[in-house]
Amino acid sequence: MEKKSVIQAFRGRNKLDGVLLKMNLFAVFVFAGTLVVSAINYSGGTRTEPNSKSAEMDQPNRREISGTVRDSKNQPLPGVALIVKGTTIGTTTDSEGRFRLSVPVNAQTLYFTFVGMKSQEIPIAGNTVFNVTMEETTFGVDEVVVTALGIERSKKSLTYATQQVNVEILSSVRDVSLGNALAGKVAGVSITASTGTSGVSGDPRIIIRGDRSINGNNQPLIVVDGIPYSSSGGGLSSINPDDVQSMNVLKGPAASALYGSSANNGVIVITTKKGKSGEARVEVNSVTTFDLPYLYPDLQNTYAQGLNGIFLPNTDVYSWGPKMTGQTVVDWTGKETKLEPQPDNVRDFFRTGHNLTNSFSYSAGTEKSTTYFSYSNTTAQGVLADNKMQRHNFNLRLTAELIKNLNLDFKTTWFRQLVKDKPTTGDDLFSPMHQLIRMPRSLRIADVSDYSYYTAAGEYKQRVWIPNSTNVINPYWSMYGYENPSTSNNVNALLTVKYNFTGWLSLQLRGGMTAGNSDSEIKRYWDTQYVNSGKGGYETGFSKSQILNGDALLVFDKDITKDFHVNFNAGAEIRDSRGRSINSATGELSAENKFALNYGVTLTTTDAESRIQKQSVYGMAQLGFRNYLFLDATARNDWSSTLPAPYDYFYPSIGLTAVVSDMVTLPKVLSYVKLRGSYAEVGNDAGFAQIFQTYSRASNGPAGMVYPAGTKVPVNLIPEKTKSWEAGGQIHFLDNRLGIDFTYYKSNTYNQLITITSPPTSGFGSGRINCGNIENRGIEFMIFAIPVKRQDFNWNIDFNFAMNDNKVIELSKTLNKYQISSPNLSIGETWAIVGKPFGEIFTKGFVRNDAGQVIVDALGMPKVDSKANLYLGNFNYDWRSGITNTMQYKNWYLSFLIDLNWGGVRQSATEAMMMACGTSTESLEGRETGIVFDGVQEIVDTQGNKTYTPNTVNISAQAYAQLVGGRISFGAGEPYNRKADNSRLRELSFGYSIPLKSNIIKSLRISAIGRNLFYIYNGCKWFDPDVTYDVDRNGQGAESAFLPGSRTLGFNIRMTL
Amino acid sequence: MKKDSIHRLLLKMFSTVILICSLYSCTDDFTEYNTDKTKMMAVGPKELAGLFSRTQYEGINWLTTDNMSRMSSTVALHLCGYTACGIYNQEALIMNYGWHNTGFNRIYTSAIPPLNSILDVSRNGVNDAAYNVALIWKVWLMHRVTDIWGPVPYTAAGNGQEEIPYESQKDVYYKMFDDLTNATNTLKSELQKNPSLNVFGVGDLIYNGDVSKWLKFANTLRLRLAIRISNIDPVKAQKEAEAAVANPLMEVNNDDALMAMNQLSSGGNGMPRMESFYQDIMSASMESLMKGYNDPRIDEYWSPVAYNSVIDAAGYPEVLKAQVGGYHGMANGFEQIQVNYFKSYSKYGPRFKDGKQLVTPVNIINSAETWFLKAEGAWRGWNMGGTAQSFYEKGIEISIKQWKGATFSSSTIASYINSTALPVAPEDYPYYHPAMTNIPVKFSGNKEEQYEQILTQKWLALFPISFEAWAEYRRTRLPKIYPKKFSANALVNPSLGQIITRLPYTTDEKNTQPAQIARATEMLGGLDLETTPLWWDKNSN
Repeated sequence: MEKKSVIQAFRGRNKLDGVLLKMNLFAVFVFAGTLVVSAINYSGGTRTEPNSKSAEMDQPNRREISGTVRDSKNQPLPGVALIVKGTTIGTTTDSEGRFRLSVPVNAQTLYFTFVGMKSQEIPIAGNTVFNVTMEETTFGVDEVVVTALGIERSKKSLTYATQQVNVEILSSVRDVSLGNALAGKVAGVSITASTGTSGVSGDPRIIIRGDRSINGNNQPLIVVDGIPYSSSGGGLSSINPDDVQSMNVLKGPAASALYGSSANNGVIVITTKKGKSGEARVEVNSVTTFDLPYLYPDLQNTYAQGLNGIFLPNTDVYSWGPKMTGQTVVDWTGKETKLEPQPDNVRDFFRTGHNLTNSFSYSAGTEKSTTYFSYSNTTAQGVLADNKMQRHNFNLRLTAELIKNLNLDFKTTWFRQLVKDKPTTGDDLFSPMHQLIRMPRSLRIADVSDYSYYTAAGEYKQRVWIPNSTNVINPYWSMYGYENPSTSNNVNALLTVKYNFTGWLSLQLRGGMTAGNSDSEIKRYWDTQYVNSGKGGYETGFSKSQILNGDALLVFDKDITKDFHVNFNAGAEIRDSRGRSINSATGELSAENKFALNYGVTLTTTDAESRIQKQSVYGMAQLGFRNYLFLDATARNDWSSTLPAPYDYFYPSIGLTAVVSDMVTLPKVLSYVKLRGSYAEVGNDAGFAQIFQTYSRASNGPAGMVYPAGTKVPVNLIPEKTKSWEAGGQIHFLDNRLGIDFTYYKSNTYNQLITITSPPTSGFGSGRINCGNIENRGIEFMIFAIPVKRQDFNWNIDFNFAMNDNKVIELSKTLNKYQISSPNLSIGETWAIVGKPFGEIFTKGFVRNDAGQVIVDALGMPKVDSKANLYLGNFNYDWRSGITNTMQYKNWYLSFLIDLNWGGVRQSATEAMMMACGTSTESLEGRETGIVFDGVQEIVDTQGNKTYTPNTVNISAQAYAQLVGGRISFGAGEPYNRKADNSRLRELSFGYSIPLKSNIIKSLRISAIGRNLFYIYNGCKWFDPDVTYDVDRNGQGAESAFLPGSRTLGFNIRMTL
Repeated sequence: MKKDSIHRLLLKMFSTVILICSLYSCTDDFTEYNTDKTKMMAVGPKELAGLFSRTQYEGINWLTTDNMSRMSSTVALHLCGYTACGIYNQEALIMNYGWHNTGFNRIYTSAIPPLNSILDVSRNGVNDAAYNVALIWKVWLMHRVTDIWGPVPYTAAGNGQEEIPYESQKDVYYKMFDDLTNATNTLKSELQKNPSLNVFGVGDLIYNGDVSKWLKFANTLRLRLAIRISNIDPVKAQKEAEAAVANPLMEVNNDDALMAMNQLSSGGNGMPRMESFYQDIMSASMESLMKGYNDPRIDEYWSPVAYNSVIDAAGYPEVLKAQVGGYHGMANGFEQIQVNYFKSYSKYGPRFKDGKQLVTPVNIINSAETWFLKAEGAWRGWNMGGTAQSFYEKGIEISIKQWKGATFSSSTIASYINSTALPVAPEDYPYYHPAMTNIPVKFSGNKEEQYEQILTQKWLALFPISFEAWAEYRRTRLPKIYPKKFSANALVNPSLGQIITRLPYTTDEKNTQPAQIARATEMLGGLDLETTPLWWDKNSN
């Protein structure tokens, strides 16, 4: 027991600090929130009265009204909200569509709202019984979507493709990141999860309509409530799904042009909830899920630790020993033991992860002011025993009409995340899976799990079968001997003031602030060879960021004549981002496991600071004709501090939409037809401080040493530009029971700023140049169908499909191929090659003759190319698709998503490594008999003529495996290329709404939920092709010691009070 | 609250927003925002010293620390015959292109850029002393590069363009002569105005900023370059040599160009670093000469063989075990089986022992070399202001004093100079070569023998400046060091007298500017191989 105390002592301290800090910050937050609320109430003049119910009770003059709400087919509608206009008095209809309400005698109007129905106002006019029929909004047609700058527009008038995401499912079938939950749902969007996701870690890699940038950012901009979002604790994962009102994916530049330069990779627009007028409403949502690892690489259970068939108790990573038959040997612990298979020694290392999320929200309001508050708490533990995460999200939103026509909207959120020991994957000493897949197959996990001890001298050491190895550490030590806790905080505040001059002219001013900080530590315990030369290693870093955003928007929206409608927006924006980070590390401590910089033997400190300011003016005009023909134009000019003077660049867009079904009479089978086309350009600025040639000073020598930076800055940097056009349409059939939305697009990205290798004689190792032309063309379509639509049974099907064809048209004058940053130690190289799609992967292959036969050498070993010349494929899928079925029967609800992705390849470094180590079932072949490799011997005669004879030389399985296995530097990548084709049951939710006659609980739904339940087919067998080693690298497609594939199962309770 | 006051509040809010907008709506500060505070945006007079330290240190970095084994130990030190290299591949002449690539890049991307910054800041009379001392350093840096690869970029080196033109070796030499001529003329007149002129101060790791020393350095360097082209371009060689000797030269050990390492906090002299690795071992050629001549420098250059446990291994040759305690050199070009035999030969002398990295300065140019250069000039009949013999003997004296101290017994020096002892046969197991040559130290009456003596003594005096010794060996094929016993390189057959005469162009350059490499190869006048002779090397290979 005592042996673990060192580590536990450190953990204990951190826990206490964390709690104290949490309490403090929470107090500050509550105080600030209270101040803001009272300030608003005071200055606004009209008091927010979220709890005015008690006042109503005192009203003597009341009367009862009642009624029934039905749909156009005369079916009763349960759950319809109704409110007495101008008050908070309201209720909802019961399961029979009936309502009963006590209203003041002077009440004028009833207001009815329901999702999917057009809202209605009904004058009371002395009536006591109301039979209301609500009309459905046409499916996806009259929908209002939030577009650029938070402008709400009817979907019908859009000239480009966007796709709304069903937000309800996001908050019930929950994932650690909102981003992961998009997988399979949105046409043209590719989601690749981060390897650490089992349980608890970061955001996925999101790519919309293909990669554009060779070594820049390819991921979309995230916009929350109109303002580009950034969080020190992650992007989408820092947003509480319960707070999301709507989520809309803007895919092409035409949609995103108004967001400016950051938006050329598309935009994910998120609108968060506001309080609702009417009765106070409390929602409680509780999600409990379990992560069950179930997919492991194929491990052999026949041969023991050792080499050449001989048992060697201290060999580091090899299972080339004798067959395990229960023979008695002396193992590494010094015990006499029987050599027996240990089939579960990898499996037993992992545990079931879990994720508990509880969120609470409160919403109330009058017609003039609303309040929304939510708190969400997530506690998760990963499949690795040391991996935990805790997350808190607070959100306070207040809206008020201060005086007539002047509206105020205030929001503040606070996000805090603590991650303990984010899993290390890949070919890293501290990657547990890397240790496990190489661990000799005869090791007993019980011997290994006892991972540490104290020496007689009191030194804390790891227990491992080969002490002092630079190659192997105990897998438990790779978890417990390496701690990397991190904390991040993010505070976001947004204040919007909008004044309506008249019904058609308004001015909106908005200010936003995001401030975040994060800190992290890495503690490497002593007795880890190679990485620590002293008594342990330590690293700590702190970073903070701040973004200030201010914008003004003038909106003109008016029918000019009976036929023409004009919508005009003009705005200006300023955005100022600053960041600072300090990191200090020591590879060596002067005292055993004292993790503080004071004990650093030599410290390496980096200090980085950045500031970027962007100013913009923009305008958007839409001319509508008879509400069926719309012409859109936008223009934006940006000034960015990252560019050389005069800093600015301009980009326009134009689009046209025609709702054909409103223009001409079409056959009855066509209920809705819309066609659209648009062209857009988006510019992009550079990164921070990339245009000035700088110098550094090192402290070596009596005068120090001064030297210029080794990267040549671009001489005349010009902004990157993406030009794109798209055309598409929407056709609905059979009374809107079936519909298709399709798009064809083409985009070209020019003048990318890329870093190339310079001739060393130029004095620079690298240089940044503007160059290139990357093209993406593709089609997307979404089909919806409503096969059944009855009173108590509804069935909806949503299908999406996307195919993107990427091509590198040009790189630079001197370059026709460029190596893309690949995942660490993969077994392939990733390239951008002119004339080919982005992301072509090559590896070392076998040497073949003209007939394609593998040439073996005189000893019978296949020859392996010395360079990565063998083409394997591309990491992108040829196409992606997903189908969601949603069914509702009475109070029962079922939804499931199956996705299917085809084409593309992955390389498994794990399998290559296991082969070399003899731990995979693949390595069993020929152990007893040897292998005669299926190849040919090359015979060259004196004239130089080559002839080939079939190989007959027998080689040992071990020698063969060690030739082809391992990483690219010493193996052959060819046998470890996998097709990425896959289909899985991605998401499932099965729920029941419990009918209640309670006054307290208004609704209660219980669901069983699951994610990644099983593969219908997986070309990669045991690992998830949609998981990546590093979300930020543009080179993808490599698997390397990923955590075992897992499925998520759980339940969700959702309650409204 | 009354409506009026609300309107007033509104007005205030609006005007505040407009005020904020107008404050920010200007790009005046953009350059400042886009400035990385952790970096310097420009360099000026006060950075000159730091820039000079950097170009100096990076310029010798391939002789030190990480690149010692790459460029020096594994290339020049064994190719010039000073040492045998403890890595089989190198000793067997298998080229390690990666290492050569790194060494080449180090000069162009680490040493040249700060040098160019000095030239940019000080040119056009802004700071003549800084400009011209930097120019002299550039010639020193680049002459080594051209003497290894042949045609290389000199004029455009480090100018940041996408394509950097290569120049023929002849052009490079002529430009170096021009630069040295201009630099020495300017510095001479500057020194007339101010005899104690100092530039870079402590930033100059060699001369502490003493410009008069740099003038001497430049003239000796000019003489070195003149002698180098004496076979291929004798007229130019004589002209440059005679011009050089008409000016102050590095004549006494006080002029020695030694780069101080004692104020560095990391890195330092690479020889002590390599010493512990058993990669540089006294060669059989060294043993034959130094033992035969009873050379007083032997205990400075080398150490007696130290005990190492490998000799206890079964089968270790008894004869090698017996070498412990004596000075022993190993034959160059051994076969793989002999790698462990290394441990029974002499390593570097006391000042190059591991741990002396930040103590022992790095030899840049030894003043003794000046005298041997003058001796060769005089031997060629050029006007060097004295006889070949007098210069030869002075060179030996200066060299011995460099290592043994100014107060070293002059009678011992005299008896060395007048000795007729001959080189001996080294005890180089298993080859047992005969004596390397048959010339004594005492200056011969035979013209041909004189030449061999001058070059042989210069070779001893140049130690440990391997790149210069290798260049002179390629030019003269002297001293008559033992050919390698074994070569795994198909291009080199040592028994036919074939040697490595240059290094092939680097992979980074081939990848980034293939057209220039094609041009350079054309100018080289042969294939881009390690056996193609350079312009000034008239020997067949």
